[in-house]
Amino acid sequence: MNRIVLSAVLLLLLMLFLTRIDFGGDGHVMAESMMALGFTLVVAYLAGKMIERFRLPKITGYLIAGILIGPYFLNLLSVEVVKNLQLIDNIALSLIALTAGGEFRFSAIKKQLRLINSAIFWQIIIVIILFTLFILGYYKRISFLQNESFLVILGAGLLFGALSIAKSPATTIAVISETRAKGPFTDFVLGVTVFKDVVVVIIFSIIIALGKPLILQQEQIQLFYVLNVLIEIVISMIFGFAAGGIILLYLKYIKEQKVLFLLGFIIFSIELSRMFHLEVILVFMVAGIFVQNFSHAGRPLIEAIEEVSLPIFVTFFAIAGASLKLPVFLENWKLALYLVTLRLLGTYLGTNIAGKTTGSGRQIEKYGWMGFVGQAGLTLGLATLTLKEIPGPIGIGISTLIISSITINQIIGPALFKFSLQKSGEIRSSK
Amino acid sequence: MTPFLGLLLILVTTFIGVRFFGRSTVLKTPLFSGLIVSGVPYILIGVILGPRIFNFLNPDVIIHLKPLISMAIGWVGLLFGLQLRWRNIRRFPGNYVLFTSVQSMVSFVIIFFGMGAILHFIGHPSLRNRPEALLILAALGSMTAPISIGRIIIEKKVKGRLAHLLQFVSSLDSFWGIVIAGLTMAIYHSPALRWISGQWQWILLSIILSVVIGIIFRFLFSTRFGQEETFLIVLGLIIFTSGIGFYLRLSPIFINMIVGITMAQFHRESDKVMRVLHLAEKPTYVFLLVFAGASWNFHFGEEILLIVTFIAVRFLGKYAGGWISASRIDCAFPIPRDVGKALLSFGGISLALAFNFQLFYGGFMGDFLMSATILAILFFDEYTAISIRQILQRQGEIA
Repeated sequence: MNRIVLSAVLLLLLMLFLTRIDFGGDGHVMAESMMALGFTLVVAYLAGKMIERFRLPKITGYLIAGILIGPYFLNLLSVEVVKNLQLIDNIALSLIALTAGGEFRFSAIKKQLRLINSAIFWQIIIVIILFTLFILGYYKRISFLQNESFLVILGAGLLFGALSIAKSPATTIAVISETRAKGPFTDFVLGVTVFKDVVVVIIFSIIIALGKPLILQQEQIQLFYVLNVLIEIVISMIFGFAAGGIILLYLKYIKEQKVLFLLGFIIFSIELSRMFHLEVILVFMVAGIFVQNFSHAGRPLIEAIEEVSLPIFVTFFAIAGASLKLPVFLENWKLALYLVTLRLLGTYLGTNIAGKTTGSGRQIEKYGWMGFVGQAGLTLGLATLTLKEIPGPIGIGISTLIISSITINQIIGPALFKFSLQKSGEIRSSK
Repeated sequence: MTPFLGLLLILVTTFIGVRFFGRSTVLKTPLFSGLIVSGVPYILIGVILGPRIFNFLNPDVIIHLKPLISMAIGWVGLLFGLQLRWRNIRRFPGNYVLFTSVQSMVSFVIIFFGMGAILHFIGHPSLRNRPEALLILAALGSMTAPISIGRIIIEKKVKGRLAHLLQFVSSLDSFWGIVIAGLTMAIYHSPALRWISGQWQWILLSIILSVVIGIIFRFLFSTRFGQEETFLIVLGLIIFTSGIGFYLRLSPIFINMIVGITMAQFHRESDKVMRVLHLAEKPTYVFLLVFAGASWNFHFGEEILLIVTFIAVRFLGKYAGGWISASRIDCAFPIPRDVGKALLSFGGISLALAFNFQLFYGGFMGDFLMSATILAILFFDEYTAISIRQILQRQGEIA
């Protein structure tokens, strides 16, 4: 372990020296981004190894490393570099979604379908109600809401709730993959994650359609917005089946160079998704589910993904850490803490009620909620969308507070999930 | 086409190329057998996909994918450096190293002065005023690619001292070329705005940085890592060191070679890294070739005479290098004086160096170096496929 710590420190010093050479010139950011990528990959991984000693998941280490080397702390990765490196986000998310789908077995989920549906239902209802009530009661202390009318505050409360129900599928998959967890508890969290990803997007579009006229006080309810989202989801799912079919045919008949094929196919699909406004995560989740459940190629698929997943996870989470806006968090930390606590409470109550009503046992009731704390890309995406749909101080205020609370959720989420997996006794051996 | 689709296109080509590359049955006729091995078809595919013909890999895509090229170049350097383990080199007769170095340096000097004189009289104005281009042209011209010799030795099951020597020379021959190229890029470096200004400081920086990185990673690799972890760290190392080269405008191939040499002196650690690097050997090589073709901007009208001259001067340089080494250095067995004809094979490392130059300096100079290298690969691979066999037959090492 001493060697790992020392190597990481030496690399940090080296990078500190390199980034302080004021070089200038063409292609500077591109070159800096490349250097930063290699550095981040190694240092974040070493941080993951270090943090493992404290029984925390490695991805917490990657995130913390990202925060430390990111633009708001040591500034070894500038804002521009982080932006450049976020180009790999889509590839990472596609691989993560494919893994999520590939791990999703109907046979295992079928047994827990009632519990999964119930957990999603109660989590969503309770979180939205709690947030709406909180905003209605606390609005006088929120600068951008204190002078607004009841309807505007109600709209904002609903939006806060809608943004808080989302969770990070990437975190779930990364922790499951790292701990090689297997069992009913893992299947439950995975099942909720996959279904909730779709449900959240629909709920959010409905709440935007309802909340936007309330907040802006000038428009009618925009049902076409919900319809658009539904159409996009259906097309994404159809495309996902087609993508799954192509992957399946490849794994069945060609088999060679699977990693190269997967990377190429993912890039191709990302471009197509961009052209047709599809949800990349949904496309690959469906593709993974298709391969896993309609063929015997599920295992080879997961094995091929595992060959490249480690560097992708490390980079993705480290960059996610580096892009967490610490100054925004520091400005709003008090309110962000309230939101985080409220979300934890809502998730706990929702999961607990689901566990009790379906009779799923103590473990789900006691620890189930811990699998749904992490928040990242999906919530950030929805926060950005909020900013676009609700321009002005209210949109900015909502997205800023949500981004602040993501910072906390993303750090504590993986640790809580790993803890719950340990308690459920489903961790086989850490990678 | 977006950079992402450009990358996809290269991935697909690489994918098909790797499948094709693995089959030695393609083009068995003596005249064309070298083509597949040297990878010329992939260069041509790159030309077809590039701006000259279909423009799928347009200049914008090429610019965006530069970091990947830098990485591939770094990969070549690291792999080469890792092979230079002093403990292994010492097992060969002492004069083998001297033989290699002398023929390499003689070739370099002849190509440098030969091309310098020609350029002085007939050259393009931008060539005349760029000594760094001349130095790198001579450096890459002085190298021998091991692929043709290795292929003939395997195909013909050659066993003999000359074949052994040729294999040794071709494996080590690129060392001086890379060193000269690395130092040239440091010497002709534009000064930074702070801290480092002099040429010697750049040279020192590139060497010290590489050694320090080599030591850090050697230290790191002494920890027990699984295969996935080793892959991740090697990947990070290559991207990091190549990125440093790209960032500081120092040669990534040189920096990575020094990192590799530093690590290679510690047996167990370098073996781990080497195994991982070998996994990506074919895809990286095919990628480099396709990209070379795509970014090859030839101006045949202006270049062709110079390229023909380069091929002739290189032939002369290698021939003279081999002749001087064979006649002056005692390797404990008779070496034919025309041994240089068997050391003309041209390939991956030279191409990586030319790419390195084009990446940093671009312009007509970069284009010329690329054209000279690509056409020299085409010519010399066909030639050496015959010359190596002839020399080994004459020596009685091929039945």
